Amino acid sequence: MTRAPAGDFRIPVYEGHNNKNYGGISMYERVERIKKRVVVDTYPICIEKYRITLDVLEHTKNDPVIIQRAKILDATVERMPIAIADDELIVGVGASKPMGLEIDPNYGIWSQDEIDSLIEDGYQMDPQDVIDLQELNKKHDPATMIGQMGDVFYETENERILSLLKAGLILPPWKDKAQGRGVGGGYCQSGLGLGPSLILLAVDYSKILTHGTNALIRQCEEEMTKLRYYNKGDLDKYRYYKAVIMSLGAMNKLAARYSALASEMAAKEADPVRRQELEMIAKNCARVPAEPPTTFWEAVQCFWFQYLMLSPSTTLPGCRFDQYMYPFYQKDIENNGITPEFATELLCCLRLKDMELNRTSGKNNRKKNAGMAKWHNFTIGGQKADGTDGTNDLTYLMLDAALITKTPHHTLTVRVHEGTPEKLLIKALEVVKAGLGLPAFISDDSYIKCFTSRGVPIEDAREYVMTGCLDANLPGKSRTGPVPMVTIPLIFDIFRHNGINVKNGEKCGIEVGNFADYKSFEELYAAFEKELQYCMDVVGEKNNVELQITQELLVDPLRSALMFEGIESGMDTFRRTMPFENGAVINPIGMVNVGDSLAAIKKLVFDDRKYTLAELQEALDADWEGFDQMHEDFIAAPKFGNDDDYVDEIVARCYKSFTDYCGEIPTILGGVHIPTGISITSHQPGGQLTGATPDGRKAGEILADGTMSPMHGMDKKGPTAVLNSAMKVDQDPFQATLLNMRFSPSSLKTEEDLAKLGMMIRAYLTHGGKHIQFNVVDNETLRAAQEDPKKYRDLVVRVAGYSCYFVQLTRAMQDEVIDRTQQTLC
Amino acid sequence: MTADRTVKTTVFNIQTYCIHDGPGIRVTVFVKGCPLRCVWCANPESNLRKPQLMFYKDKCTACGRCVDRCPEKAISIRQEKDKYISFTDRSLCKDCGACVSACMQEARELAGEEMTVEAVINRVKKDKLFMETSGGGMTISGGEVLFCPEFTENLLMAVHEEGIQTAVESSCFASREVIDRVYRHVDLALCDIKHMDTNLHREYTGVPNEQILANIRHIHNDLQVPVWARIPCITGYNSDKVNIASTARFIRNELGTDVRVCLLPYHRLGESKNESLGKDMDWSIEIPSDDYMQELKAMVEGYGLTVQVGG
Repeated sequence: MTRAPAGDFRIPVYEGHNNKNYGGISMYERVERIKKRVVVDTYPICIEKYRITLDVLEHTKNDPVIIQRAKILDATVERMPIAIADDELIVGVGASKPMGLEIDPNYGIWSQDEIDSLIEDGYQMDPQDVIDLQELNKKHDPATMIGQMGDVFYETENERILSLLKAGLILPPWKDKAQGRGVGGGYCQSGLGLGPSLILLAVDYSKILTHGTNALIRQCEEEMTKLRYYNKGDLDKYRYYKAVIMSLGAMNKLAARYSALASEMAAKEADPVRRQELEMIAKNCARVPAEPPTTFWEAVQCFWFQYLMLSPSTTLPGCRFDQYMYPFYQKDIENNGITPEFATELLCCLRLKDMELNRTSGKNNRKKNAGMAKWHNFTIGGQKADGTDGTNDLTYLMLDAALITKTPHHTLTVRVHEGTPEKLLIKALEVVKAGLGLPAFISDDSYIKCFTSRGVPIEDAREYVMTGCLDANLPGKSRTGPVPMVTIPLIFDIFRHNGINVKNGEKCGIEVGNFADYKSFEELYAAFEKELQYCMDVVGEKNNVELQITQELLVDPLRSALMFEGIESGMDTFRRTMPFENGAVINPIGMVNVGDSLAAIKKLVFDDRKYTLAELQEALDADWEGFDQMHEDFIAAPKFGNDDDYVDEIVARCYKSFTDYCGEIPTILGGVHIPTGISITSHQPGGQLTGATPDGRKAGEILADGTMSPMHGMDKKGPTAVLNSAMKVDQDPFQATLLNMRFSPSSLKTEEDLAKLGMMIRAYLTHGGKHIQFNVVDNETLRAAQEDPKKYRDLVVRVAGYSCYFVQLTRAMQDEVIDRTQQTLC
Repeated sequence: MTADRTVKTTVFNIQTYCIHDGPGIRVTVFVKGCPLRCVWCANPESNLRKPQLMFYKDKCTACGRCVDRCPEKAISIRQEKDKYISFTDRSLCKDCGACVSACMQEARELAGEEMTVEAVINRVKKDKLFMETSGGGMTISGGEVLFCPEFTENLLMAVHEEGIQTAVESSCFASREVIDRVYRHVDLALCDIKHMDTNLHREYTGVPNEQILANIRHIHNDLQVPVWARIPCITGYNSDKVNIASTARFIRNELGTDVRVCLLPYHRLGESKNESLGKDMDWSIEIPSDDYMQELKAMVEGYGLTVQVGG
């Protein structure tokens, strides 16, 4: 295809967000026009998908779940309204209204109260839909994950588990049964697929890109001929294949509808340039995904159809887009079918498409995941399977597209190893400097070890990608279900009160001893470790319940088919033991606060003998009120993030206790629990639940974010000291860790500045560090945005692993971002 | 000869991840005490050798904890404009630092701590990974490093013993003997050139410039230490084109075009530090514009020199 570039092809002038001249920069006109449509601050709530789903459920009562689910997919693509908006080059929408969020039928029921709260928060809903929704609700009594878990945990036999869930061991805390089951509220999201929403799963996109859906359908048909029903499980396989065929067929139907619509629109289009574009869209959609793409444009469209039908998912990854798309790009460039500029424009269109996929949730969860949180993570750079560097032209164009669109989604993560070109680091830092809060930088070395240390062949391990925020998975070969956020300082609270939840006086943990009676630090540590292990065991139990409910309720023929041997195995991905088994993980929140606390105790109680544990207990329960001198001393005790071995070794030890014990907790999928370490924004609600801690923190205050970030404001020795502390923790066993750092834009002026920051990043990531990301904004800008959110609508901030708009954060989260120690360079 | 690691001086900051004080990523050690009194000084807390109390009034909440803690009864709560803050009577204050630990708001800080070479080296060593992988090293700055030559010499030797590169940032105001002792151990000399007119130099810094310029020539030409010439550009004092041109001529003619020139635009950090030291500020220097800095850069480049704006 040859094509005159639409709009202005100048490279934009990158300016910080503190610049008042908003919109004064040049960029592709197309991008700017689409952006006006997709960067909005209010989203319509829709009930079309809910309506369709309920209708299918009513007519498929006697079908096995997997067939029911495939029929829902089929009906959704057939009946949902479709649209092609002006300027679009990549087509396919995920909701019945522009920028819409569809009520998700698979999660809790949206009560009137929850809907009112949504509208209060600025979401729009058609008044008739509000009425219809409550009518639909009456017909719908879905078997939901949360409902089924409630059926288990609200029973008296499982009181020991409920007492910890109510204490808030896993966020968000459970309410009493009388106040509604589980956590209440549901999800509203966009995407044409089945969900579930929050699992970490990387499909192998290259399957459809290489073979096309028709070939996969033929493969299913062939497998079906081999079935013999005296074999156990073959009937299940038969149903699975029927469902997979229906699901892949649904994807073809969707493409056919778009092809027809584009032709229709082309026939009516007066503008010859746009007519030609629409004709190309019609042609693209007539080919993909049924047949493998022949051009880069077709390949991007093919990717988008997959992505749309694997959504809704707030954690859907783009995997190694620069790797598996490169052959299409390269071929097009060699055949003069495309220019790098047009490829960039397509990548921009894809980014803007992703802005249409959103989610919101019930009141409780809205608090936990601040902003319109999503983690559509595309991994770029890094080693290829053979160990050589994979950076290519597409890697750079994807960074360009982020600079041009200046949107926070999809996010990008750069894999760094010894052989990563300096040029790529500088380019990536230019994007960071633009204030987009992306990309993040991760270590090939440490992530690869996470897999190889557990027996994965190195060639497979080198293909790892980011799923969700920063969790690694192998495309097609592994996936993670539950990711519980476990507040460790809360366990410390329970430990300090010998198993009692002080908020209600109920027993929730185990008795390990009276806090005041420990005679040595080792004795105290061993007792804490016991409480920790008890709580982790309970988390493991809950995870396994969740896994089984996922197996029963949330089967997904489409995404299962796109996994490694997804067709050959004839099984849903959550029923199989995958080549790498990380079906369930545990995510500690606030471990740094516990490490700092233990260091303060060791120093002031056992080394210096300045205070007794009884005095400390009293001061903590009084929230330090009336204990000024003591409070001062505990604040002044060594803190993680200052390269001080005294405390760093204790933090490292806490993490080791945690990671070692994860490996002791089995899953029903045939593996054990894997440790992970992100906090998203859970350090805020986690902190709210937790009493005063011996690190000097007061009750209810926010906890340290991430896993490797120091407690905010406590790192006082500059960025390298933070990294030195973090490198003392064995991060390799984690499938993610997180370290946030913030720089002011004025400190990254020249290319030399960026090169040096690149050197620091590389040094960290090749010597034990796993992840680092940067916020580049100044506090004045952030304060101004708090006061005048409308004006700063597009101010992007990286909060613990994902980008979102600053003005969408809660005030407390905004304050936390502002307070985080600002690293200034000399 | 090995370094004597017991030698002490007063250090007011060991700053890591410095990227503007020489090549690569560096650790910069700032020592206290300086024989010059440049009116634009960016580190006024470095003037005296003894530790000094610094007070950041914006952080103060007038809680009064420092008032009770002060052994000299030098602190009181006073109203300033629309808010109450703690006030330290500098004539009574002995810079003992008792109020610093009392302050929960970090509004009080004691600048300066006596440290041995050993203590400094232990801190510097921690960043060896970053220095090594970036081609960086340690920079000693001040204050005036040549004002405590015994410490400086031994620290430089000790740093070399650890396999780390060294740089010294100095006004070069010292005797030839001190220069010879110190610069034997220096891999890169960052030499300040503040004014070419010795009378104005004396007026603005308190000392004449002949010895300084002679020392720079000696360091570069005789001791053959690579030199980066650092020219602070202070509006109304030395950043006029006549002085900058004459500085450039000096560098080209008397040193050589291998000397890298760093034009350092004035910044206001020193002003806020003066305030926190309780010094009155009755003047304010204008920050040179980016455009003007570019003009100066182009002009100096016209002399065949390599120039950068900023460290």
